[in-house]
Amino acid sequence: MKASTASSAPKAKKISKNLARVTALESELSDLRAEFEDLELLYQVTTEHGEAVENQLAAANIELLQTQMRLSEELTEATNYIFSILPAPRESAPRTRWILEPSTELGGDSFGYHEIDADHIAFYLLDVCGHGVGAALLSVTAINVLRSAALPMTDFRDPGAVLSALNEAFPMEKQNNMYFTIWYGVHQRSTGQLRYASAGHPPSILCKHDGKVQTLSTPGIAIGMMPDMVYRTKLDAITVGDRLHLVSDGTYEVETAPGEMMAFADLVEKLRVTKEPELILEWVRGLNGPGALPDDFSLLTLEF
Amino acid sequence: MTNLNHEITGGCLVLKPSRRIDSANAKAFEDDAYALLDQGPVKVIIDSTDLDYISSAGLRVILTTAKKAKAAGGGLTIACATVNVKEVLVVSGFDGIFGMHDSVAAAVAALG
Repeated sequence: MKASTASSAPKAKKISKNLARVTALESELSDLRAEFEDLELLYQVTTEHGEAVENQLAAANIELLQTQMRLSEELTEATNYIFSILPAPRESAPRTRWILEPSTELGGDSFGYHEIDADHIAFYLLDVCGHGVGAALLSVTAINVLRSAALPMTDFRDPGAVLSALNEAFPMEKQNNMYFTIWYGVHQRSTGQLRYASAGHPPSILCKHDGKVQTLSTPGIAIGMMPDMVYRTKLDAITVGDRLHLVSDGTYEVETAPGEMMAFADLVEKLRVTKEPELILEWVRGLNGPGALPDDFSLLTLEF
Repeated sequence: MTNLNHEITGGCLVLKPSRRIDSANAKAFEDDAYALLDQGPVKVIIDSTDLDYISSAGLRVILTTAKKAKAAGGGLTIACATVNVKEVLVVSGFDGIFGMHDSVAAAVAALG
């Protein structure tokens, strides 16, 4: 008995020890199960959240694309409008050829020409500072004012008077701080007289029928920069066979090499020997190198 | 602090931009010029000795600086324009409005 008691006591102790171990393991297992369930739940939630975020992103992306498409359509509409108010090339004297290539979707350059009366034709090219929708809006407004002769008490055959009146009508403080440069000329058929005035604008280039070249400009700052400016008219003579080129600074202000800008004189020389505006654009593009031109390219050529 | 080279000579604020004023740095020029105008003389000289090129964005900030100087009772003029810069200033009509001088001393005298 004694021996059996002696042998059963350690056995019971061992069983109880094993039981304790089983209980501990069970508890550990249950903890692990709980942890696993938590993790599984967390995983599920995270996945669902991820899907929700992905869905949200996709929706935002679609919205962004739609907005972008709408804006781009509106820009195209605006561009179409600007090109629609530019006059068709004339085939009768003076014959006209032109190129307008905005550097971004919408530029600040525009131009026009129209018969004032049976004896006078006006031609003009303007460049609103900056690019984009704002510049384009002012640009077409100014062109429409010129085209419809909508300036009070102004003789549109007198370029100096036209620019002075424009300066009164378009002060930069009332045009979202925008101003524009312009060259405006009038040709009288019966006399061959050319009257012109410019406001902070590059000279126009007159290639005479005999090969001589003149640059035509008058002193004066851009329209709208300062109040009470008086712009003066200058006179010249046009003969049959002369070509007159109206440009903007974007037509020649390209970087030909790092830090090297093309000079106005280079453009004058090129215009002397080249008849087609397209060839001038190609040449300037070549000098500028790859990529869009830094500014609007405008060139209006009149052949008398 | 301003990055724009400047000094005060004969009671005038002389701004000496280097290399270019174009669309990339015109805003910085304007900010610096405005800050300097707020501190000191309101008679401004643009010393163009070190300037190779000025774009239409550059012309705009010279105009706005001139307007601010004038509003404060001062004025603005231009000195020492190099050949390329002179061409731009003449085409833009800035030579006639603000004046161009061969030296800073002549510009100081012109601003009185």
